[in-house]
Amino acid sequence: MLRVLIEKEWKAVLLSPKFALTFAVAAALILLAVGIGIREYWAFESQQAAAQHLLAEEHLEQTSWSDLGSQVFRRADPLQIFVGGVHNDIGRLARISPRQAALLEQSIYSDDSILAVFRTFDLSLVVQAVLSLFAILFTYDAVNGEREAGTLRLILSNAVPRAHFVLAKFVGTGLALAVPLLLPVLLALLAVVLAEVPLDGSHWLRLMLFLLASGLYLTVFMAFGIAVSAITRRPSTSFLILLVSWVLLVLVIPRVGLLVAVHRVPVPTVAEIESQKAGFETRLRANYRRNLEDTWVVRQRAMAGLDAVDRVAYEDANLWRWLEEDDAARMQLETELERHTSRLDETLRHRKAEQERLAFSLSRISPASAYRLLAMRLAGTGVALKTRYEAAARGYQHTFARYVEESSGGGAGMMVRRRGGGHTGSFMGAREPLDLSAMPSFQAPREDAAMIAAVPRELGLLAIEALACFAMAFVGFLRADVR
Amino acid sequence: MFGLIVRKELREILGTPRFAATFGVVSLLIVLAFYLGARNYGHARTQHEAAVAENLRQMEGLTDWLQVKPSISLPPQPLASLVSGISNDVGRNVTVMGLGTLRASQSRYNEDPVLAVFRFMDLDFIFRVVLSLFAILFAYDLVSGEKERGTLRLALSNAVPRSTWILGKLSGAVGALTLPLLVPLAIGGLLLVVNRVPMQSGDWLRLGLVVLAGLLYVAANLGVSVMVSALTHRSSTSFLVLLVLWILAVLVLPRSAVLLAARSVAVPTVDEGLSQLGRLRTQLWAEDRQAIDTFLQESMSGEPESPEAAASIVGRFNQFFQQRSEARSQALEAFEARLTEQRANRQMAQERWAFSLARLSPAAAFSIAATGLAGTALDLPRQFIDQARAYQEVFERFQKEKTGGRSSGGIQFAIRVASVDGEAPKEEAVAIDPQELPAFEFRAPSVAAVLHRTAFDLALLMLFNVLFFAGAFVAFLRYDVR
Amino acid sequence: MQLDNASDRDNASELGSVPDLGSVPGPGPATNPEPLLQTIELTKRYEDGVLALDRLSLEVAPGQIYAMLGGNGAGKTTTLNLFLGFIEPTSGEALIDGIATHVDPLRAKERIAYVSENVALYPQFTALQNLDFFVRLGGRKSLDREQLSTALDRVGLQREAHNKRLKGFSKGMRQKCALAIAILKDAPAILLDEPTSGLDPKAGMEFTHLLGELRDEGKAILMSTHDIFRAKQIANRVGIMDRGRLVAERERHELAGEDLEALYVRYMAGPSEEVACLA
Repeated sequence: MLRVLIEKEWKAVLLSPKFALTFAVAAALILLAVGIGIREYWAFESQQAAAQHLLAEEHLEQTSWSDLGSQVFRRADPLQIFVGGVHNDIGRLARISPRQAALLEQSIYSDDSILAVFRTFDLSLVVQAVLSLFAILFTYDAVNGEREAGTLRLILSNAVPRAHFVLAKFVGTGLALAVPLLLPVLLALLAVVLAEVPLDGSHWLRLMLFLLASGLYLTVFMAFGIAVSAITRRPSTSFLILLVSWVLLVLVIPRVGLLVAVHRVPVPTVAEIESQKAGFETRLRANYRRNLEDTWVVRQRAMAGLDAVDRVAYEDANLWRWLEEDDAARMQLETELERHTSRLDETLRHRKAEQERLAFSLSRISPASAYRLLAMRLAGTGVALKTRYEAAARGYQHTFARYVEESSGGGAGMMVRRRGGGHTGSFMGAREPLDLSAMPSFQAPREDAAMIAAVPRELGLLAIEALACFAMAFVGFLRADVR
Repeated sequence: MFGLIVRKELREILGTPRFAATFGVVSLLIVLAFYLGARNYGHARTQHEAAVAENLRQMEGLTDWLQVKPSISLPPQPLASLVSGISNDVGRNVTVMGLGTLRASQSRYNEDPVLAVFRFMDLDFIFRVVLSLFAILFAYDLVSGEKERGTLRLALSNAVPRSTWILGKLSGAVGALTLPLLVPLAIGGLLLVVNRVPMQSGDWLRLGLVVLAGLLYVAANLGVSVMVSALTHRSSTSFLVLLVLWILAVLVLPRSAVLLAARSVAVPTVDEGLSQLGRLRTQLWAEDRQAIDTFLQESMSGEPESPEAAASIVGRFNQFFQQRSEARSQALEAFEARLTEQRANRQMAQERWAFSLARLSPAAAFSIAATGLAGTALDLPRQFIDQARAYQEVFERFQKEKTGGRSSGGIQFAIRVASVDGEAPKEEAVAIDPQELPAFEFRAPSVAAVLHRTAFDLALLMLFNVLFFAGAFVAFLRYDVR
Repeated sequence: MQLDNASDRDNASELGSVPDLGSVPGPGPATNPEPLLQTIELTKRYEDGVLALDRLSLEVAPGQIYAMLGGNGAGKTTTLNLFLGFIEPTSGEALIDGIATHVDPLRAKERIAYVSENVALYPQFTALQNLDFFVRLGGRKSLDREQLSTALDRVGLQREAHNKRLKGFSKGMRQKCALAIAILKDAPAILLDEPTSGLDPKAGMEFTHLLGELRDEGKAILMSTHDIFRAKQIANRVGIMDRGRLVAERERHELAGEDLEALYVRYMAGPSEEVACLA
């Protein structure tokens, strides 16, 4: 009996006049989105590779360890093809220098602002905004449409349990919408494979989870549509309710949640933090310089009255100690700076995390946000992408600093000490290109496990929402007046 | 007769629960957008002022203007919080050095990707996405719905010319959907005043024009809906067609246009420019180093005989160094200017392409007009960086004046000459007064300039209206009312 | 239009005149007193307080046609809704083959076929697809196309319409489909809601014939109608309802000597019009 009903639903959707048009639009959008994604993926990869190449060339011409800097480039993630997330919003490289915090800068949108005008387009957006709208379009009159037409009476004049009717609506419509969509999705996956996007096992797993989440998200809207159509009497009413709810859930609530969070948890800007850091550093360095000068005055004073020969002997005897003392002072300066910097950074990160939590928990009321957050987390293009890369960049900054220090033989060539007054050697060090063969390379961070670990909760949330809608449809219809 | 039809249409739309529901939602959104925009602006303003003050405070205790690298930032604009455009995507801060490329960094979205996840809800979004959808929702069955209900036959069985009928319907629908919007918009304006957002008269004018553009856009959506409704015979069909058109116009066409333009007009990446510049700098610097070495070898062949001699050597060296560095910076600047111009030209070409394609969609035309009016369009980063460059010159002059024309190459030389008796010559360090630093003021483009730039898009929106309404009119005259 | 025997064709030619009872296939003898459809003191009061049905008791035995006559709001459709289990009785019960519909609606509904007033089928499906769906839904294992087509032939739907979508079907054509569904479901009882309203005379005539055939096959048929002439022509028993009550009931043989129209008007006179408006 149930099968008969399901079969009828499935046929009813496939035969309905709106199916052909919506399917064509959906399929075209899916393919377009993935096509654009693939193009952007490779464009980004080649842009980053070119930048890396330019950097390597610059390195070849480097002659001094002291102004040797480096850059860390963000790698494209194959899954950004499907879920762009904040990929275009956050910087694509971080400059590594001993002085400055390694922060991602030069986002695609700030470099090529024209892309920011209308933003880009990815599969998650198609699912989130377009397909959810279609899901509503196919379910808004699922129950009350049949009641208005009178077919519901005819169906229920048979020995059909009402529960079966709702269940069949659900399964039949779901199958009719999902199965045809598999075709463009498979084509898109094929395109990704043909475009030689390097996908490994973890990528495939996450991709499948993303598709699962998309299905679940659309299920929520379908169940919601059926529920509203079971509760209201007229299709025009249920359509209005659903469309307004869609606007609220998909377009409004996520943004309002964000605005409220920004309002409630203000976060200091990086400019503020940097300015504080710079001020602290300037004061500390001035202090350090004064101390150094004073030390030297003391040391010179100790040599007062010695003749030239004794002077050299004294200097030679004490030089090592002095250097160690200076080094220690310098180290202390660095440590203090670092401590201050990391404290400030920590505070900032903390505030941001708090803001993020508030914004996301507020907006999670809407399945659209829950889906988007989940998709971004799975694709690794969420907010964590920035924190992840900046942490890795900081790590690399240390490695790089150590490498420079070791390679340059300590002191980083910062202090040109003039001994005995004579100008020796050329101005500012040697001019031969540096041997950078041993330079440590930056490893792009990957946190596959963390990405997947977060999935059950979000998927669970979507599943609960779907079940709640389904229960609503169920109860609504069991109590409905079918006359 | 006409008045009767208009009144009927108004009553039919305004009296429905569908109007109450959507109008409630839209009003809420508009008021919310204004309120949160105003609060957001106030907050950003405080933060900006705090950052400026902090910047100055950090300079206290410094003794040399050469150590100062002022950081200037784009102040929040009142209209940007209502129509954000790309204001959150472009770098806000520039560290001004005496010389060299200025780069705006730290866009808001880069700094706070949380904000980029869902983006803001501004007037642009409300009009472009929400209101356009609602306009469709109201007008999709304006003609086909009456046919389905049978009221069309009844109405036209009277001596009503079709033209009067459709004109009445159109004006009634436009009036019913646009005029009520003025209420929440007025409340929003009031909220700006209450929250003391410093709106100049020019800002009000621009905001008014944004609203006008928005209403034109909503009317265009109504027009197209009535047109489609008069071309189809079932309201479900007309809704489906309109929904697909909406998806194409709002979501697909603008984005595809930009991506297509990006593909057909290649713009050199920022990295390439920076790298070329860096290479030139290294090369020039190497040449200069050579020259300096030669200079030093010649002038400092031995230990200076007296402090005066040493001082004269330092003086001469500084002079020489200054000359070289100025020449170098000029060469670099010229090169950089050329690069920037090249890139800007390519970008303009790309923009022209992308926008002329995207403008096929009224949604894009509205968006371009609104952001242009609010000053958050693509000109924003260009204006900011231009003004930052102007400030750079002001600052450079200021620095020279303060330091007596010492080197401004961003590198300072303090050659310590340890005197024989071990007493370091203590310079009398005088703390600088940060308040003397010239302030950076961002000047938004004049209303006239803005109008000049957005006139085209406003005209385009009107053209869309004329086209769609004419289309609706003609379609209805030939409508099969059976 | 292919009717089975010549006498039917004769009947069709008699349209326009009031057909006498004898021309319809003769009603079977009132044999089995065991009722298949039965209401016992059936009462329904809606939430808004309207008493739609007031202690209605009626019986329909197999091989009988019972016609409920009455104006709008008389309680005819409420009675059918109670049989269909769409609403619960306030008191009393509706029994189908001895099964109370509010106790075990599913088992009860296995025993009835229902033809609604303005027959609603799926417009995007063809006649055969609709038939297939509803017949299977009625609990019959799937029938092949030929069996479905035969049923459509029997109710008089032209062959070329069998594979057409329902979109362009007239009311009469849709009703034929619905009857075919009812026939194929082969339930012992058939409920009909205003089956002849909106039909042209020819279609009405054909319908009456088919109903007579079904009765002769032993179905218990309960129909609601405004149509006095058809009721008189075909029903074994006519009940006149007003404001939820059965005000008069006549056996077929009693009608022969009585003017049903006068009877109807007499009972329907008075305040019933206002009640009709309220309902």
